[in-house]
Amino acid sequence: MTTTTCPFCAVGCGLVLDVAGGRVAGVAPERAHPVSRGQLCAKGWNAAQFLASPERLTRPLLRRNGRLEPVPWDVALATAAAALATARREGGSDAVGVVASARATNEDAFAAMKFARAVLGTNNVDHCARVCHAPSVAGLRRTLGSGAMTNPIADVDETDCLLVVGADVTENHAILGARILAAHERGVPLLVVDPRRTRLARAADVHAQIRLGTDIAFVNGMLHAIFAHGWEDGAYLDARCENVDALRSSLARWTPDEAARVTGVPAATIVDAARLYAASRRGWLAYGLGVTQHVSGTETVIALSNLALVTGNVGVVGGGVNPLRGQNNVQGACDMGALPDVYPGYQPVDDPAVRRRFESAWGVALPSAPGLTSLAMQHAAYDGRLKTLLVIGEDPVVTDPGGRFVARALGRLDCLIVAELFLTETAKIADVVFPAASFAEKDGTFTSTERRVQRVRRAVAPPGEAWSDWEMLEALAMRCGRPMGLRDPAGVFAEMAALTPIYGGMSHARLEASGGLCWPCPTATHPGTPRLHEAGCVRGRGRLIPVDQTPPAELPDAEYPLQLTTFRLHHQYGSGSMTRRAPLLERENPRGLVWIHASDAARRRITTGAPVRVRSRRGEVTTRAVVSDDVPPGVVAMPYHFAEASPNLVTNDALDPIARMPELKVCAVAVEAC
Amino acid sequence: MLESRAPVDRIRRVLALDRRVIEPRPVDGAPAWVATGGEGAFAWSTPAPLAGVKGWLVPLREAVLAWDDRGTMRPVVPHPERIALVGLRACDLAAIAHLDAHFGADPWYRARRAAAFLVGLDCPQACAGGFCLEVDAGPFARAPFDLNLTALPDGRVVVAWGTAAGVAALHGAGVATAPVDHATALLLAELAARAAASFPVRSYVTRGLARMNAAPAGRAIADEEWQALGPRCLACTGCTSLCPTCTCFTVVDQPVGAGGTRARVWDSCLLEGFQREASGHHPAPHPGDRVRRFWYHKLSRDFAGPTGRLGCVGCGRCDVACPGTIGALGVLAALGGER
Amino acid sequence: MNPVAACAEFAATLPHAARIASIHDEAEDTRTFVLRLAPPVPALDAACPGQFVMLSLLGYGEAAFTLAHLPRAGAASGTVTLTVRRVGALTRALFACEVGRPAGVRGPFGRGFPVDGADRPTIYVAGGCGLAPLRSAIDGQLRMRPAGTPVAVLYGARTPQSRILRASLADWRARPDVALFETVEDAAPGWRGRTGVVTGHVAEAVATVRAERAALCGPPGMLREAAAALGAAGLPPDAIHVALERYMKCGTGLCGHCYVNDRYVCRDGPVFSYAELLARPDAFGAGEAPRA
Repeated sequence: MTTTTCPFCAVGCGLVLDVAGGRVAGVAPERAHPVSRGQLCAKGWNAAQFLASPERLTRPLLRRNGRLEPVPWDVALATAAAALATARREGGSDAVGVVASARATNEDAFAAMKFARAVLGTNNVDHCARVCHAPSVAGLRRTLGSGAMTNPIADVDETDCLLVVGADVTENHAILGARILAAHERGVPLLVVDPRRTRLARAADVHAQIRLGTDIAFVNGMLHAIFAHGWEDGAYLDARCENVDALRSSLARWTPDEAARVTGVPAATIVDAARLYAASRRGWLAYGLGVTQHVSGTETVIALSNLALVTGNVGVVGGGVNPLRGQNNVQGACDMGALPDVYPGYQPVDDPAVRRRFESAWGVALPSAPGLTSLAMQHAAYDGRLKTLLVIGEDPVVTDPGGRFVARALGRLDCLIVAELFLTETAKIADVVFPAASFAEKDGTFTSTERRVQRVRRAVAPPGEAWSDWEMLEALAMRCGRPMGLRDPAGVFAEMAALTPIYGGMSHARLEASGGLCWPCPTATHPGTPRLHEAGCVRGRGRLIPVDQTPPAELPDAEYPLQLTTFRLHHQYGSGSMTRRAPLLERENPRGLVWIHASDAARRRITTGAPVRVRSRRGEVTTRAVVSDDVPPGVVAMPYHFAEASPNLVTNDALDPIARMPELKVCAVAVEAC
Repeated sequence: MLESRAPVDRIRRVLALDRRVIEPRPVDGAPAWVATGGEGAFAWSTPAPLAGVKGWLVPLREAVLAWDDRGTMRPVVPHPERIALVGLRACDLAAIAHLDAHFGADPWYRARRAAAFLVGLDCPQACAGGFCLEVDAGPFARAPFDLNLTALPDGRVVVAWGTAAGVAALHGAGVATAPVDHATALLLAELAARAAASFPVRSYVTRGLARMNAAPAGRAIADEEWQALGPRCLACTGCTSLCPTCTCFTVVDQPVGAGGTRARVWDSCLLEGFQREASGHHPAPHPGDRVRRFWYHKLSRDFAGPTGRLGCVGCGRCDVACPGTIGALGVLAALGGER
Repeated sequence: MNPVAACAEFAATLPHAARIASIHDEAEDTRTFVLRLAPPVPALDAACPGQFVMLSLLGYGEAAFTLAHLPRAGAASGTVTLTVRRVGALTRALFACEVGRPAGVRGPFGRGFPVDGADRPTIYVAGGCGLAPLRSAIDGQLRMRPAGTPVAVLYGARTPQSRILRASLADWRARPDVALFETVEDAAPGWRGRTGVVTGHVAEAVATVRAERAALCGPPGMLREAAAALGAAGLPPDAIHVALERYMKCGTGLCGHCYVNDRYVCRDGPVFSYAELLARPDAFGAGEAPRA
C-alpha cells in the first residue's frame, strides 16, 4: 500500500497504489485526502494500467544507421553529452535547450532547470505551460502579482456564485467539476461561458455560448453592465485596487448591445450574468484553456482579473481568479523555474541580485538574458540556431501547433535527446532516448493547480533500466564535466526550497501528511497559504488594466468556412502516452473524432461515424464525424489526444504577443466527407 | 464462545503460519487491508476499508491464456498465495456469496477462492453510509465464512464456524470454545437488535427499492428519471471498481514480442464503450440508460443471488466514490423522492 | 483441488486450434471464412442453427460470431463457417488473414433456433448480414422437412451489391419449394426485385406460405419492426424466434456485457422467442421496447 498523488490532471487527488509481487496490482482512492475525499476520475482509476505495459521503455536507445537500438546507459549518456558539448562549442551556449516535463516531479523539473542554466549555461528552458497557461502566469502577475490560482478548490463549497469560463471541468478536472455540479445542485448559481455545450453548460443557470475568441468582449460587456448598474464593489475598489477610472472609461463602447453583437450572446444574457456574478456576495471564477489558448490569451486573463477585482472577489473566501492548470505538475514545473525568464519561485533571471544568489549557491556564472520558449526553440532548430535539444516527458510532435512543422524542425537538430516512458511520436524521431521512471517508481513532489505541494512516493521499482529524470540529469551533468550534486529527491527539494522563498518552509518531511502544503510557505513553521492576496494583493494594489477585444488571428472565409476549436476528453490525457495504454480508456473514444453541428453536417452529407477531412491553410487531417449539438453551427471541435488524427496538423501557430502562446483554440477550416 | 479476545490473536498467529494474514489497519489516516502476519492485537474497531477484498479473489487483471511465437496456446494457471482475510464485515461476506454464485464454475476464481480463509466480524452498529440492514446483508454475518466473530461488550467473543477448515483452524490454535449458553444467546439477540436499531431510518430506501421491483419489471420507473441522473455520471468507473459484487470484465490481448498473453481486466458498465458494438449500434446509448442498467443489476430482484439477496450489499462504498452523488443511497434517494 | 484435474479444468477453457481453410467474398466488406479444426470437435459438429462461437485471433482478442453453416445442414465435419462483416479491430485483422493462418474457436455457445418443427410452414426474415445465421436453419429445415412443407425466405439488404450468400440465394430462388422475397432499400438500375425495408413485405410473405412460425436475424431496428409485423400478421409470439446480438467477451455468462434485463444473450440466447422479448423492454436497446 503506497499513498501517493495521482499522475493525471492538476486537481491533485490522493491515490493509493496496491502493490503485489513487485507490481502495482490496483488503485484505490485515498479516503482521507482533503481534495479528492475518496474519489477519482476515470484516468485515476486506470492509473495502474500503463505502468506494466510491455511497451514501456526499459533500456536507453541510440539511433544507429537510422534505427533506434538498445545501448548501455554509458553509451547513451556519452553520446548525449558529446552532442551537447559539440553544439555549445560550435554555436555557443544558446545552441542547446531543455524542454522540461509538467508530468514529472518538482525535483525532476528543478534538476532540468538547473541542468540548463548551471551545466549548459543557457536560459533556453521551457515546458508545456507555454501551450496551456503561460498567459495566466503573465497576466495575473501583472494584475495581482502572482500567476497562480488564487483560491482553493474547497472554496467551491464556500461561494455564492460559480463562474466558469472556457473550461470543461467535469471532463478535464472531473473531481473538481463534480464538486461544482454538486454545489450547483445545492442551489449555488452556475454561469458558464463556453462556445461548446459542455456538461456544465447544460446544467448551468446561464450558458453564454460566445463566438470563439470573443471572451474579452463578453467580459467587458459584463463590466459595462456592472458599472452601469452600480453593482461594483466601490469600497473594495477604493481600498485595494488601482487604475479604476482608466478601466471604467475604457468600457464606454462595450455596452451590452455591442458585446452582444460581437459575442453572439443576447444582451440580456450578458446583463443577467453580470448581475448574478456581481450581486452574489462571493463569486468563484475559474477558467481554462478556452481563455488562454488565443492570440489575446494574456489580455483575456487580465479581463477576468478586472472582473474579479471590480466585484471585490480577490483575496476573499469563496472568490478568486482561478486558472485550472492542466497537467499534474504544470504548476510545479512553472514554480521550479522551468521557464526561460525566471528561476524557481518566479525570480527573474535578468535581476542581477537574484542571479548572484543562484551563482553563489551553484558556484557557476549564469546567463543573464531570458532564453527561448519551447516554440521559439522549435523555430531556432528549424533555422539551425539550436543544434541539440533535450526533451523530457513531452510529446510536442503531437501536442504543439503548426502542422508537420514541429517534426520537421526537430528533425533538423544535430541531436534530439528524449527521456520518456514510451516511444512517443517525438521519441521516434530522437537520436538518443532515455527510459524514464513513472510516478509510481520514484519519490518526489507534485504541485497541484491550487498550489498544493504533495508527496509522490515510490511503490515499485522502475522497469528494466529506467531512471528518474533527476538521476539521468545528474549523470548527464557528470558526463558534461559539471556535476550538479543532486543526491536524492529529498535533497533536491531541500536545495530548491533554500533558493525559493515561496517553498522556503517546505521539506519532504513536512509534506508527509495527507494533502501537503500550499505555497507560499516561507518558513518551517508557516502553515501554507491556501488563499492568496487575503491581506492585499501580492503586488500591493490589484491593478485594473483596460483590454480590448482582439479577433482571432484567422477568421473563416469562403475557402475555410468553419472554425475549429480543440478540447480534451475525460478518458484521455495529453498525447495519450499513458491513457492510451489503458484498455478501458482507449476503448471509450474511438481514436480521432470531430464534433460537428447537424446543420453543417447535413450540408456536407456527413453522418455520425462518417470519415471526414478537416483542412486548413497549414495541413489536413482525416478523422470521423460526431454530429452533435455540443457545438454551434459554424464550429467544429476536435480532441487533441490522438496522433493519428491530430488537430495540430491544422491548428494555427499565431502567437499571443505577451506570453508567446499559440492560438490553439481557433482557426479556420474546411470540412468535407471523404 | 471464547472467554476473552486473546484466543482470537492466537488463531490469527496460527493462521499466519501457512497463510498471509490480511486485516484492516489504519494506513495514512484511513483503514486499508494490510498484510499483518497476524502480529499485534486484532484491530477490533477498525472500520471496513474503502477498497474491499474483491481484488484477492478477482484480480484487476487476471491472465488466462498465453501464446508463444508459434501460436501455441496454453492456459495461465494461477498459483494463488494462501491468504486469510480476517475481519470481513457482513456486507463483504454477502458480496463474496455473490461472487461464489457468479464465478462458481470458473477455474481461476475457484483457485483463488480455495486459497482464501475468511474470518468475519459482526458489526455492533451501523457504519456511516452503510445500509446493509435494508438489503438484508448485515450487520451480522451469514455464510460464507470459515470463522465468524461477534465481540460481546463484556470482552467475550462468540465464534461461529462455517466450514471444516474453520473448525480445523480452531483446533490448530488449541482454542477451547465453550458452547453458547442461554444467557449468551439472549445477549446475542439483544446485540443484533441493538445493531439493527442503530441504523438511521431511511424510508426512501424502502420506497426506492419497491419502485425498482414493481411490475412491470424494469418499467415502473419513468425513463425521464434515469435520463435526469445520466449527466451526473462522469463514467469514472469508481462505483464498479469499489463495488464488492461487480464482476464484469473485458478481455485484452497483450502481444509481447512474438507471443503474448490474454487477460481479463475489470470492466465497467458505466463506460460508453462497454456495450458499443463494432457496427456502432449501442443498446444503451445514453448515460441515463447505462445508469439504469447498472442499478437494475444491483437493486432488482431479477439479479438476486441464490440466497435471495440483492446484488447490492449496502456497503455504501459507491456513495463515497461517486463524484456525481449517485451512489446507491443517492440513487435510492432520487427514486424514493428524497432529492 | 487435484492438480491434474485443476489443470484440465483450465485447459478446457482454451480455444480449439483452427486454421483458415478458405475465404470467399460475399459483398463489399463481407466475407465467408471456413476454418478447419484438426481434429474435429464433436460439440462443434453437433452445433445447432443460431448458436455462436468465440473466434480468437491471437493479439486481437475474441469476438462472437454465429455459425453460418453447420455439419447438420450439410457442411463438412470439422469445419466452422463464419460470414463476417469488416466493422471492428478484430474483423479488420481477420480480413488481412490469408488461408492457412491459425485461429482459435471456442464454443458452440448459447441456445439456437428450435430444431423441431421442420414440418411446420416457416418464414425466415433476415436483414443484411443477418442472413448468415439463418442459412443453416433454412438449409436444415429444407433437409429435414416432410416434402411440401412451405418455406419462405424474406431477405432485405441495403443495396443489391450488399446482398450476401448469393449462391444460397440463387439456390433458393431456383427451387420451386422455397418462396424467396428479396428487397433492397437503395435499388440500382436493373434491380427487378422488391424495394423498401423487409417489414413492408412481411404480411405478403406470411400469407404466401401460411407461415405458422418465424425465425429472424438482422439489425436491432429491423428485428423490432419485423417481429411486430409478424405478430400483426397473426403469428403467436412464442412461434416467432429472434436472434439477438450483443457485444460479449466470454460467451459463458461471466463477463457481464450481454445481459438484457434478466437474461444473458450468450447463455440464455442468442435466440429468444418473441414472447420472452415482449417481457424484456431492453431487448432491442434502451428506449426501443418490443411492441406487442
